[in-house]
Amino acid sequence: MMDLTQGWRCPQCGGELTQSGQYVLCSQHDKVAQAQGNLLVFGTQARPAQDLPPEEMAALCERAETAGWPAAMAELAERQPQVHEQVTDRRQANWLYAYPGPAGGQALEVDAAWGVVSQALADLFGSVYALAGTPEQACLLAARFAASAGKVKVAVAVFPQAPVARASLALVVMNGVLPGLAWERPERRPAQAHLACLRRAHELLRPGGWLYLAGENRCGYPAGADGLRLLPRGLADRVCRRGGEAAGNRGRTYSYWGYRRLLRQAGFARLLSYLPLPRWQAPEAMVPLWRAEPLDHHLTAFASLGGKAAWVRRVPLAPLRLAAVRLLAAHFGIFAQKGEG
Amino acid sequence: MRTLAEAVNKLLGDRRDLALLVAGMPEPGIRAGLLVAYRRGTPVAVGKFAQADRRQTLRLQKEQDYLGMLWRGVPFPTVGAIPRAMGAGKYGADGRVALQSPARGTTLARWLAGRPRRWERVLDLGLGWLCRFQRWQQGLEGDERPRPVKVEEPSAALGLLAGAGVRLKGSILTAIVDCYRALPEGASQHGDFSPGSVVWAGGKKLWVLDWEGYGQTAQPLHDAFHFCTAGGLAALGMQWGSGNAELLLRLYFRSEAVSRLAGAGIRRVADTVGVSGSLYPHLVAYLTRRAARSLDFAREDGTVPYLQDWVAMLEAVLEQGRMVADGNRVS
Repeated sequence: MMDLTQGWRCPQCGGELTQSGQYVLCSQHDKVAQAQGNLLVFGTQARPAQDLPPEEMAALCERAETAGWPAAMAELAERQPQVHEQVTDRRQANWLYAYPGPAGGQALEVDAAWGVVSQALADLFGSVYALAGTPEQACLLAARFAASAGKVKVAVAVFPQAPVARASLALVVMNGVLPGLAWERPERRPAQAHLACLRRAHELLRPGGWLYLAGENRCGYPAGADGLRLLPRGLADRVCRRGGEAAGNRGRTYSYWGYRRLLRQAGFARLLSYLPLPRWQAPEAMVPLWRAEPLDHHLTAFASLGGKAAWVRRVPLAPLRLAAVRLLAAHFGIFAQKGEG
Repeated sequence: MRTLAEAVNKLLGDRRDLALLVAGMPEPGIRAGLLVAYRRGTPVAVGKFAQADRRQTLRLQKEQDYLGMLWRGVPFPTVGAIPRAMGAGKYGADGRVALQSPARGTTLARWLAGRPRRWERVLDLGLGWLCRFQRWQQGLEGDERPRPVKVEEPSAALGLLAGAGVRLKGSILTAIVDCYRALPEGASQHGDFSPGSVVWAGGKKLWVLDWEGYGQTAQPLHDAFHFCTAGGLAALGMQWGSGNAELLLRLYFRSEAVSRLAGAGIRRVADTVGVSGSLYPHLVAYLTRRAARSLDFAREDGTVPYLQDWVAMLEAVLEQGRMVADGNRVS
């Protein structure tokens, strides 16, 4: 049987793993994962992805396993052109152009979904760990990266469970996944669950390594249908419970200052905040938000912030414009660096 | 291997306090864009980057070479109007980034968008700069007349279009070749001179960007027509698209305020570069070349944005030209 443990470590202690039959063992923690086909499954599984209905996802998975990734994608393009566009849209990794760290080393993507970002990471980093939330996602990722000669390693694991060694990563990517991570830890309050995830990311990074965190702004304008996030946290919890969501309001987002406070609490030493435009999912521009001049330059030389945010140009002073964007931008992309010490 | 930020940092002297604004990566298949590097809030360089596309990376290198060449010559009378090349470097597996000195201000395209009353001022600024540039390029002083320069042949552009599967009718091809035969001597050209490539910070000071298409053996009025076409459409509040042919006829063949100004502006440039007679062959030659140049922007899936629009414009202008012969507006 093929040794699936190569490159992976115990998610709890970072120790070496050995495979025994369908189980993966750690010298200190006994059974830490199960082998399912060619994949390792660590711990419990996440809620299934919403992009495709479960039966279609299973059929796509089977197609990818038997006929390969290109054939599965050709089929997806016919059946679900919108999902196919999402799977192949490399703009999702455009934030990487602003990545301030060096190339090389190891990178990890939390909830790698369809693997677009992991593929872009593979161009810059020596090896990439792609963590999938469900076996179906992992199966598709494995098919996608079958030709990468082991450069992209795929496993099923829900963060903060991450089967890699401590202080080993150059980059951890949490691209819009933070609110979802609180759902996986219902025993904790959302802010605590988020903080635990960020602390774990900090622990996995090598000194000087970077975390990329993209997320929506709690006070973002326009807030959209989800006015819930503007309510005080306790009230939002009560509204959710009354609406039948027993766990309360788990999909918590933060303000510009809220994200920064959370990252500081997690131990990050240096924060570089960007405004991804027009949306964090596929940025066409990354505007630095730690000085007023780049934002002004963007407004005059490149483009506006979009129709609904054209008011920003009418705010009279540059520092006020910057403060307004920090307060009301729809989303942020934040690079957070672990201290060198 | 380097990241984009590392490559920029190295070109600018390995300082750690850079902020990068990255923009202009709008299409899924195009891995290219622009960046501005700031140090303590001040822009220190503007860059273009491209990845996984040999034609795009070659264009970056060409622009660096042209800028170097332009700066090595006699200083341009409006100092600083042409950016200075600041070097090029590699990033990622196959990416290339090229830096140049930054320009401050807003593009004329943004200033003009949706405000037709500004069209006259934009024409005055843009075409005025073009006249000065043409005379500088030829080293002319005072009343000195321009010297003849070799004119581009149509075969290259038509060959490229045929290679991309564009089938032009025989009568159209003959008309294009006839137009080229009627062209007088050429002049150097910027190649992509539009209000979007000109940055203006008030007064008379302009920065002209995007020199990838620079050439010294070309059509004399290419830049003037391109500036008026792109700017005229913006002044009329129109976007590039399938309705462009009708708009182009409106711009060059109808008697409207916008087109009267464009005609006068082009004639001004024609006088500067020593072109007399009909301007109609120049318009046809310009459209043929733009159609061929749009092939430089082919997407990964093989489609070419705007190619059919340019071809439609060319056909519409030739059709109109046949009807009105040289009695049309542009002559």
